[in-house]
Amino acid sequence: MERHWVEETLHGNKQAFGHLVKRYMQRSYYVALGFVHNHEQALDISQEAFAKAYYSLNRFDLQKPFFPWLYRIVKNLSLNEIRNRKNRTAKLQNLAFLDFSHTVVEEDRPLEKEELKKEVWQAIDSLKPAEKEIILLREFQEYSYQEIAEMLEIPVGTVMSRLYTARKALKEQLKHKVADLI
Amino acid sequence: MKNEKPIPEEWQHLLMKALDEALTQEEQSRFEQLLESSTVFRHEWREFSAVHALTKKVRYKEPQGEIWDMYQTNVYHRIERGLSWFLTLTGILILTAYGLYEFVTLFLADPAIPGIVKIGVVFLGSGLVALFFSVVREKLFIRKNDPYREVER
Repeated sequence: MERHWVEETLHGNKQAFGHLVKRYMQRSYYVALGFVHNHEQALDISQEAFAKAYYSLNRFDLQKPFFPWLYRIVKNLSLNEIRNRKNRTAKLQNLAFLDFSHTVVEEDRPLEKEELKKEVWQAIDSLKPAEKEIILLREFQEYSYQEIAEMLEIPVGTVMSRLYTARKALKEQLKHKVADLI
Repeated sequence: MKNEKPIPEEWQHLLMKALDEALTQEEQSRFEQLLESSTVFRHEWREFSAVHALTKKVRYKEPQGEIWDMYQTNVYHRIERGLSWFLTLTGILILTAYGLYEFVTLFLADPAIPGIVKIGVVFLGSGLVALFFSVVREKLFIRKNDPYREVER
């Protein structure tokens, strides 16, 4: 079906592209949100990614699934945004623009809610980019190992190994919290 | 952590698959066997489960439903805007090229127009073009590097 929509779009059928947008808009938004932590920017980036995909569709390999390709466009746009943001924040003595308002916490103790949210996001943010990316894809966007492998263009075995390293690094960042839980 | 001996890759994969509930039956048996026989494996499993439980508590907030209603329309607007920019810039390029050609062949090559006027017009035109690009570049530079862009005014 997906391949048919891409082919139809290439033949000038805009509605067919609409089907692709509908199918992947939420995924695309959450991918961008994971990178930029800001609702408005994530919306902006994910929409821009679809527009870019539309104009580059003739370069898309019809034998491959659509989303991993779109994922890479969203990722590149998000990284550009982060780079621009870093240039701006560097002038404000590295003032962090970490925004946690796009997340919720399932925690019974209200006083600990905000603290936990902040600690988890700060721990994730302190990871190396490749580790952070795989944590977001697996823990927050719940993609399967196969889907992650396609998006990152790596073998499934590497997905598991990278996930192990990333979770281990996260464990280290959250060690006092982890100690409370075991 | 740095002095810890790394566990075998097979163990790493089993731990990850167990956390993500992706073990096959065969792997499940191997996992249970390791849990019983290895204290290192058991310790790793406990720690990873605790981290997993923590991250599972933090979720993305669902954006309001109306956002998705407008999403597709906004994507179409962007696509149209991209095309509009392409057409506009191509038009500007064609007209500028034609204008320059006419300027050289009709104005500069015309022997009836005094040389001083030609020099004056070339200087004036070049100055205006340079001014235009300088202002545009400055505006773009400020927009791109404004450290207070994230701050609501």
